[in-house]
Amino acid sequence: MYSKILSGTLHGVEGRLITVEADVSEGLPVFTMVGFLASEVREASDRVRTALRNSGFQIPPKRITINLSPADVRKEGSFFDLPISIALLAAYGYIPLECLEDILIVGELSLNGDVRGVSGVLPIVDYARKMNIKKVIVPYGNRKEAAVIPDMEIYGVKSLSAVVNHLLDTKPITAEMFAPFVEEQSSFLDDFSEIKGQKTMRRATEIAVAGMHNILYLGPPGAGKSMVAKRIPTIMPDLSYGESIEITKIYSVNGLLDSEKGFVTKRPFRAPHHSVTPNALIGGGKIPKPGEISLAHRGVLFLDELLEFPKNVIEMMRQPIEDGQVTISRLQGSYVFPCEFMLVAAMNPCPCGYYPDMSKCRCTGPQIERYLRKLSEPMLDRMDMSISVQKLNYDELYGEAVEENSETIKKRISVAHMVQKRRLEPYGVRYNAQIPSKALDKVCNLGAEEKELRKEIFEQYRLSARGAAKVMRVARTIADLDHSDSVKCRHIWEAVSYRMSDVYQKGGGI
Amino acid sequence: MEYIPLSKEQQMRRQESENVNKKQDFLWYWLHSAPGLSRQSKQKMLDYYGEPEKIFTATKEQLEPFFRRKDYLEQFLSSRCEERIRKTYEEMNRKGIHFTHIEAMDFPSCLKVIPDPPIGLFYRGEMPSEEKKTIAIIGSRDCTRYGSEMARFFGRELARVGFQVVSGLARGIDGMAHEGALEVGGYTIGVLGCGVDVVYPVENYELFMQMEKTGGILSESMPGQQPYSGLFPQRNRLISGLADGILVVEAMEKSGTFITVDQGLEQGKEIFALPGRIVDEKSRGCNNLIKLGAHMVTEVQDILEVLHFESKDMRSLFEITQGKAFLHKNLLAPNEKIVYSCLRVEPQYLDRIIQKAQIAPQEVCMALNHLTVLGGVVETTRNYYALRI
Repeated sequence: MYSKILSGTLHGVEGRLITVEADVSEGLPVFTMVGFLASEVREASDRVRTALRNSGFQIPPKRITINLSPADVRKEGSFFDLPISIALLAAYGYIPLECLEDILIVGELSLNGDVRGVSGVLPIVDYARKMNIKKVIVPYGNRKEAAVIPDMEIYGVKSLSAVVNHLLDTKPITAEMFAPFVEEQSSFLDDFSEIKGQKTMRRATEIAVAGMHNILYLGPPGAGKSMVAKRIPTIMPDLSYGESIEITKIYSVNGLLDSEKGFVTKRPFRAPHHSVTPNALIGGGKIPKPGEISLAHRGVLFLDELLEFPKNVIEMMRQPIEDGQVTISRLQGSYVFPCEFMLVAAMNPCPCGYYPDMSKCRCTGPQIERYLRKLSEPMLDRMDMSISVQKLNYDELYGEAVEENSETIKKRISVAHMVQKRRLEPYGVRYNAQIPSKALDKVCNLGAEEKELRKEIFEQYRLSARGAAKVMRVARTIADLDHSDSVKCRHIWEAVSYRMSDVYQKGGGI
Repeated sequence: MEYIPLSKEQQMRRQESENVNKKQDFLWYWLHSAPGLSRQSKQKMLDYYGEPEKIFTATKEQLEPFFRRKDYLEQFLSSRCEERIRKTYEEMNRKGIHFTHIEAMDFPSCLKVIPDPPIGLFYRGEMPSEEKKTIAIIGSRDCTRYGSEMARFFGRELARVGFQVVSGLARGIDGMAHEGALEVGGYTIGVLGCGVDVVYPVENYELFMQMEKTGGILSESMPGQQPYSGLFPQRNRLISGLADGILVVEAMEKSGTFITVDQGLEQGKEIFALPGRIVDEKSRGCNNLIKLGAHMVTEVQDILEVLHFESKDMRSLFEITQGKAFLHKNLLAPNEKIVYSCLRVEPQYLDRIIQKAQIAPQEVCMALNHLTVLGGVVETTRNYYALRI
């Protein structure tokens, strides 16, 4: 007898539908599986047979053929154990065929018939919705993430027999409640108020986040560079539903979701160690999976000790940063992962870390030069702002001064983001950091005085065209924080302090 | 006076004498560059023969006593190939490198009288003028901001009153002194420890090019010679030799700067030193010099007096460090005045300035950048600001 059922697989971070067909006929008892299968899918035959027997189903020896179609898509992952066994049971006549219509099943089986959780359920469920399939049976551990998609009937199952009982309606499972997205106050353990003093760094960080500018911190060890970077997600506006779905999908594919929580509600903060391999950073592998830059999507990617990262790894990030997505090509197809993140990097100003504090720094001029030569110029091109950071003195560290908390800063930034979104809509971008250069003049709305100043600064600081554009973009953000419609002189003056050109000036130590 | 054209005979005679001179230059060049013999031995040879032409034509037997090793003699003799020498000499001239020797017109007379004078010199740009006073400004390569700012200040102010500034075109104090002189369009010459077509250190590239145009670059080494430590003491004797006085801006207790000072003393030059704080490692050498009797300098005037030079166009250092001149020249906003008053010669981090000024960070940034553009402030490293003197 013949039966078929729907299941799904992943292509990058998007889902695909797969039809599982089973046929049982007279002949020599064999179990054949066809349909461009990866080895982990092929192994399903043993798991399915054992799990069925251990769940109390008799499988008389017959010729069994399983086909997973479409035949030209490579089937990977462990989604298919459960659908294959259900299709098989239907083919043996345990389940009437009508019960299997318009229902999608994914799940891995263990030998005793338990259903195990799999990674990547969300993209499949999302795709199912697009294809107008309402009922989805998923492993119990994945029910929460599947339930973030509205208008769906999600059934979380714990064992094979439970699925059968549900399908036969002898012991139906109640559908998982749709978990509507609440813009909850993301509760971070860290807060900006814990950062004492550091007025420059606070201000620059606020500006950077407000315009989503990539920022580079230069400073001695222990100045608080990592501390600030870690708190940047706390001042970013709360995730919207769409953003959250994007992030949750990526985390679902990588199996990083909490089984008791559906959505990812916190902005990601990823800080890969500098020993990271290119594949881990960009994404890759035989079956491509999102890398760190995609895991930082809509959040922060923090590269501490920027100079310690191998040059080839850093260079690989250039194109993804520019495009906001990374395309990984393999023989069986190319995969696109989103990666719109804010890049935050930190580095020491010299090998020992203390320059220009000459009482501590023991580096010679050439040593510092050699050290900084490791900086990749194209990488610097992708950074928009840079500032120096210095260690706190005693008064700042133990003083009574109360610093602003993240919530207050976040409010200001949210307003700036809203303003930008509205203004930049015609150009197809969202943040000031992405303003195309040809639109810059119009967006900044400079007066005669401001244009004069721009020229003066261009010459004084020997800016390149790119460098000048960056200063203007940052000035635009400063003006937004200042609730000003056009960029004024004072905004440009301040933006100059954070310029990216001549990051390193040789002016002698203190 | 009536202009009488030269007769044909006179013209020919002049041409001939010029040719002779050219031939002489070229032989001097050969002697200076010939391998196998130290400068001292060449000098001895010159004392004996009188002029390079005679050495060029001398037989092997005649030259033998000057050499301790046979292979050196062979090297020396084989270098006497007129065609080859002429080729390299002309090649060099084409590159804009001039050669001068101890008996040439353009050889600085002050270098003729030092002990162990050079036989020949290579230079680009102009040689210093004999009429003007010359000051050497020297100091360590790893200098503090105070040191570099002082070097620039003295370079500039002395050039302004008409001094020529000589230094070593090295990293640190040297470069800053040159820069100061160039700022006011003064003449400045760099004496190198490598060939005059080798830029060392590379970071002084721009300075090097500028000095070639408006000042001079001088070296005793052959063009193309890469620097090595042995060449620097020789070049130091030329720095002190060219100068009337030597100003030491910043030096550690044991510094290469003292080679120049010692040679300067041997040559009878005046030594000046800038005092520093006694706990400052980088100023200890200067303070020691003062203890030993060098002239202590706290004003430009101090140097002028010792060197018997008078100038009315003199500005007091005190006035400049107080920023009065700058404040006088520019009309500043109240905030900018406050920020300006918080600055010092030593660079300070932006947060410290914000703390002192008690103004909002963005206001301080604005003020500082505006002051930088006006030229009163300099950003030494990113977000570190210092007063410009």
